Amino acid sequence: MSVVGFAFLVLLSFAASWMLTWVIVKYVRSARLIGVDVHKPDRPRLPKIGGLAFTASYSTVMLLHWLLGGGIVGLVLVVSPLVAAAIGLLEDVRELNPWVKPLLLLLPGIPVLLFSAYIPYPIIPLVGSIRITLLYPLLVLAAYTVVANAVNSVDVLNGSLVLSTLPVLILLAAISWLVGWETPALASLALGASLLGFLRYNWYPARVFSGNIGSNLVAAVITTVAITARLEVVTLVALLPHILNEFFIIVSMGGLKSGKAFAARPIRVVKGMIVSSPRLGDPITLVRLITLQNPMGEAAVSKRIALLSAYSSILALMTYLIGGVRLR
Amino acid sequence: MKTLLALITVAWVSLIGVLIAISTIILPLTQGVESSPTAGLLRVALSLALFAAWLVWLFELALFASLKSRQGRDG
Repeated sequence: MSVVGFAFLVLLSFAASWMLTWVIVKYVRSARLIGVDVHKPDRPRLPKIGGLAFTASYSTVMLLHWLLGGGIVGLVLVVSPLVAAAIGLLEDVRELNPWVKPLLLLLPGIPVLLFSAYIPYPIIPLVGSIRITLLYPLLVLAAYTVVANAVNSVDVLNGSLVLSTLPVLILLAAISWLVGWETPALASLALGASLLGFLRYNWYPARVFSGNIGSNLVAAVITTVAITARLEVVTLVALLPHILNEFFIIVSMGGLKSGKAFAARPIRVVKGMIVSSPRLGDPITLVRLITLQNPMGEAAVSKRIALLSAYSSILALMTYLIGGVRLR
Repeated sequence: MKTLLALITVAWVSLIGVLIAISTIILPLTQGVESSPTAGLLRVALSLALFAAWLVWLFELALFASLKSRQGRDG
């Protein structure tokens, strides 16, 4: 695909996401699709399926790319994220058991396995290519559920999903493009552009939430790009803030539990500022640790999460360079 | 914020340490993977064990962060 065609699809993704998010903000009123913004003093009620907008724009662009010759990798970069988004939408309209959700999130890995869109010889920086033919498919399935939960755990503030994943997507797009994996590079950029369109309405003070549909889609795209572009370890490093956050939550809550069922909250909101909880037993999260010393506004916390993500993406790039730049 | 930047750095440095250990200790120990299935199995098992140790280390980091958080509020 030419650079002009590539740029056209990325711009289309941005514009479509912007417009579709506006439609959701303006027209979604159903009680089942509305959530409360608990970090605002007036607790506004906002549409919680804003992720549907960038799911639609990303999928349309990647479907077009597949029809123009995107191949098997192009197909799984449409199907796997859509499966993950569908599971997220299901969770947005009805509460899922915290043990059922991780099991359901194994499903987006199945198209990757069915279409054999993976090479079971992951390239490990400093080690080289290792052959794990039997183990790799199991790791593929597990990766979707781990990354989806980790990305979802950071989607707690206005703009935090977009700001925490944009550096990862830019890194994956840059390396994929340099190595010659055009389709994963397009997927990363198309999603990044879609997220920017969505951010117009999700930035503080937000008028829409992304919902589980949005965070699941983002996680599934990142995972599929990591698998198809053979950037597994680089992606693991780039997602360190998300993975650490998930660890904090699991450790401090004593296992997989629904946040809604847990009365204790990691933070409080006082006069519009986010304050770390003073109670010893409350869950530990990235946001609680960021606001530990000083109370902060929601936008400032989101910017710090972005900074952490940018930092880990730089470490991920260093990991790639330490491992030796390779060509496809 | 400094604690979190430090945590991420420590997690990354330890991961690089794991990769170096795999490449300099485990791989030379399990030479002959092409001819011996046992050597191949041993290589994968030892590498996974090291990776599991890294995950446990991350878990410990999370515990440390939670302790630090509590001390911060107590102090």
